[in-house]
Amino acid sequence: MNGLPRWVVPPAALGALLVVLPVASLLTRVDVGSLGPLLTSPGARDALWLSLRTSVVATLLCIALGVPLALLLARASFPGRRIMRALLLLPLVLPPVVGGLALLTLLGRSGLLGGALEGLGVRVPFTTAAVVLAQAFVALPFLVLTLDGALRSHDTAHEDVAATLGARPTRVLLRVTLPALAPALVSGTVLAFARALGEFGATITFAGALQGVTQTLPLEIYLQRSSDPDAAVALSLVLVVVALAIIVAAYGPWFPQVSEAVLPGGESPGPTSRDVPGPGGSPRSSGRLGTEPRDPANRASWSNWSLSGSSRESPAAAGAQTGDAQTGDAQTGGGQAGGGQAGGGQAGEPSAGGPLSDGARPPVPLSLRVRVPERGVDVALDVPAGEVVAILGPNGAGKSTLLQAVAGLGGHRGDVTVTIGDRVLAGPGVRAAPPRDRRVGWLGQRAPLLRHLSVAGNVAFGPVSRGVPHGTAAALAQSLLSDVGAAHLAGRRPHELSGGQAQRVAIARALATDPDVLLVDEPFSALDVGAAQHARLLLQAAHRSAPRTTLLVTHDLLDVAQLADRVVVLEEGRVVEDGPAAEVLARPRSTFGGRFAGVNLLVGRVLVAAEGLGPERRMVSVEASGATLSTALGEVHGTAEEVLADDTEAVALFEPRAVSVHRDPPGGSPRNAFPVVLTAIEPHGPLLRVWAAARSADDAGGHNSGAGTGAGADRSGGAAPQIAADLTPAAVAELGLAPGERLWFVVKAAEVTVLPR
Amino acid sequence: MSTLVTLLAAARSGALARGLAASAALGVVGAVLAGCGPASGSETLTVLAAASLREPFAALETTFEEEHPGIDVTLSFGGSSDLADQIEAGAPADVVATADETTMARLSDAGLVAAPTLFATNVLTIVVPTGNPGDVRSLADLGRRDVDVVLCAPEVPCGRAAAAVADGAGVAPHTVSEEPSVTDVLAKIALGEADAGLVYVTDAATQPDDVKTIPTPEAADVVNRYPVAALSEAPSPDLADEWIALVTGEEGRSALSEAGFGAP
Repeated sequence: MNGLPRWVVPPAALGALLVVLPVASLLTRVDVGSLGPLLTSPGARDALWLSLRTSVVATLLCIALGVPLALLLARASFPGRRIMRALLLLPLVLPPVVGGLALLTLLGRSGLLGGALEGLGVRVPFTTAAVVLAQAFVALPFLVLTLDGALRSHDTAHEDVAATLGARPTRVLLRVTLPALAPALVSGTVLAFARALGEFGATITFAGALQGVTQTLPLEIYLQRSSDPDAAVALSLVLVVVALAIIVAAYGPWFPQVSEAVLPGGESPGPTSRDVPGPGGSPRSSGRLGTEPRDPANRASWSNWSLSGSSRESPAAAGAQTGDAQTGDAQTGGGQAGGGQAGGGQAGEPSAGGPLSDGARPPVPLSLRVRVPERGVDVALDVPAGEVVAILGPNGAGKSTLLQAVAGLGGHRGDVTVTIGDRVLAGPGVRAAPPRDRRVGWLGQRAPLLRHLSVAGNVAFGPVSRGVPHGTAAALAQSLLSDVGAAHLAGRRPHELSGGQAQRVAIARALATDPDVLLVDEPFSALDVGAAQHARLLLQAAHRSAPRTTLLVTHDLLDVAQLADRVVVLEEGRVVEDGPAAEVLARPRSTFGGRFAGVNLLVGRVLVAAEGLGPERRMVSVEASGATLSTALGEVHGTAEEVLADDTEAVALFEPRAVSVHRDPPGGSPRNAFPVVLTAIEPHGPLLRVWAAARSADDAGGHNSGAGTGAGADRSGGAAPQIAADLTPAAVAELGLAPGERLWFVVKAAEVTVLPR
Repeated sequence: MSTLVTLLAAARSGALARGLAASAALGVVGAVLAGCGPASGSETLTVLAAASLREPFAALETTFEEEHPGIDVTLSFGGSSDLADQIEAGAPADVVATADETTMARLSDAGLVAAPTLFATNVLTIVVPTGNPGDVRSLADLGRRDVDVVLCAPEVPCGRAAAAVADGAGVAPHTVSEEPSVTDVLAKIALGEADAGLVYVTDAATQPDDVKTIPTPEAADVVNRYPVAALSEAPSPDLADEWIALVTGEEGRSALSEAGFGAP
């Protein structure tokens, strides 16, 4: 039963009975024979008609005023917002009669505004307009609170993406926010209408009761009750039927459903579910797609890329691709069928027209300075045209803040300077350009596709927002969908896609506006391995076809290895490492970079720049940073490739497989023997990686003295650094290792590389 | 408190409690609702009375309780037809006093009350806001287009009476609203939202600061009579009879006339 405990059933049933039974028993009192004459009596007819008219108008008034109000309450920040939200609850708490009195004291003849209105010849009380006002007064909170709750439970990911795609605020509201809000809007409207229809107290107090003018059905029922209770019951039946008809109509089959549709294959995809291989596997789909005739006239020149056309893929990438059934519905198997497109982007090619297709625009540089004191972020970054910069760093280091600053999202104030090409988008004395004017593309961890649009509609959304004619945008969308191997998905709705498919569509959508800068935030972390690799290769192919300045936030080594030209490591809002991707992966200088690259890295200061191995090579001692670490690991001896000055910062690097593990203090004279306590063992390829943390110097049995204990701050900003050793499973078994054990990690000085920071 | 403890204990006892928790919660609700009922113990006389009788009956309650130590009089006021609905639904009461004979006839025809006794009369009067913005001087002025009139709806007794008064004088009031009760009419006049209304003299007397009465001789012919009766199923029939005797007696007459009621 949907995982609900069984005990919820009795109270639920009682609750339903509490509502349904009294109404049902009311119906048993209805004298069916008298219904006809009663309902055709002028009084009842007028009252019903008046009720319907006023409730509809009051509901429309609620929508016209309540939707903007809810939007401001949920999305804007202004002083007194919480108080405003609380005040809006008042009509729910006030007895309606008091609400009517309140309206009278404002709009009545001797009221605050009413006196002035009277002077203008406008009389509100005792008019039909007063009925509408009274109904709107009590009904508005229902609509506003429903919408406000729905808005606050949605984040703004969809709106943000739509803004980067070029949609103006009004378009974002009408095409993104409101469609997503449709179910809540319908619910709120129904609630407001029902409340307006049943309104009694405020109406009688503020508007009075006069047949055909202000006497609504509830008032008529109340009056009838005192003279003819049976008539009152019969009229109540009318009210109930009308209300039911409206509610049923509103929640009918056209009510926006939130539930997930089920794919033809019977699999209900979640955000991380695997791609669904095309029926019959890759030959069919790849054959179809690979030989699909393409009309160059319908393609923006810069979009001429696809996996099949990418002939420069690395062997590893190609292997992953062909060996992976996940890519079955892409053009992988098509071989070189589309190879002619590899060159893509010929400037002379006829293109889709509009602002997007003025030939293959050359990539532009990005310059960025972001200071957000409240987040401790202070970063300056210059990215040459077409470079892909991977931004690494622990959570909270400021990576996403950086991307948001470039996109103009996030709303944090801070001190931001952004220049793309020769366009200064934000800076001192420059009014920050809105996201839609920045020509950036955003690709996030989730693919926030607009649920009410088809896949093709999603991809065309950006171009259409920027004024490209619908037909052209549709053709462009179709060609981009082909590029990402999703042409066959064009007519689907986002909820019918797997996570991998959705992310590929999101890639097509981000590229559809031909952005100057692509901002990619952990794009594949929510996908399984196969789908992630497929999406990664798509980005790679797109970049090779038309290089695009890109910032790529990631935690994935593969992203860096396959996509990045350069790596920037952020820690605590500062750049701690910046270099070519290959260099950072091979010889990291920062703690996070070391962890990322899979090497042991200890930060410290040069203690002794001793003469040692040769004329150029000098032995140094490096004091590890971090109080505990320095105590336990003490001096680290390694080799340096250049002369290091005493008391300067340096890092010591050594591979986990260079570390040997001993139960007892090693004999002989190894230069580096660290007393550690084992913390974890995890598989690492064919080996096992043994993680260990330093234990205290006392505990070390005096082998390594506490010399060099420094109180320097731990630069990693995180937990005490751990070091790893790679062992064969046999060795782990032989040693009988288990977490908590005290061990010695030993590494030869010759295996330790010391680099200046 | 003990209920709460029981509830908590029930919640803790796992499987056994599952089905019981809901009913325990209902038990709490039931206990709360029961607490709203009349306290048992001392003898109680329950009187249902039309809302316009609030002040004289409150005075008579004090008198009655002084004369009958140990007896607690509970007064419940409401619209006459509301009271009749309650009695038809079996409300535990001893005496009912309505503001019109029609409603009482409904009850006596159904055999729910003993023979009623008339104990007071009431007549309508024109009321205007203090200051008389409509410059209303007589019943005829209620027909002026520039005078906004509020009346009781014809479905309720005061509305029937108002219609009779206007018809008798040949006046067609310029009505902007037909209110469901006389208190709604009075409120609209007191707030100054309408220029004139017709209410009972006893109602007008409750708001001397906010409304002004205009002499209405035409209303003297339309007299509203108040009957009182003991319920057939009265829990305390003897006390009910004593209450009726008090209301119809000298002290009752005095309290009623002080509130503006006339003699039957």
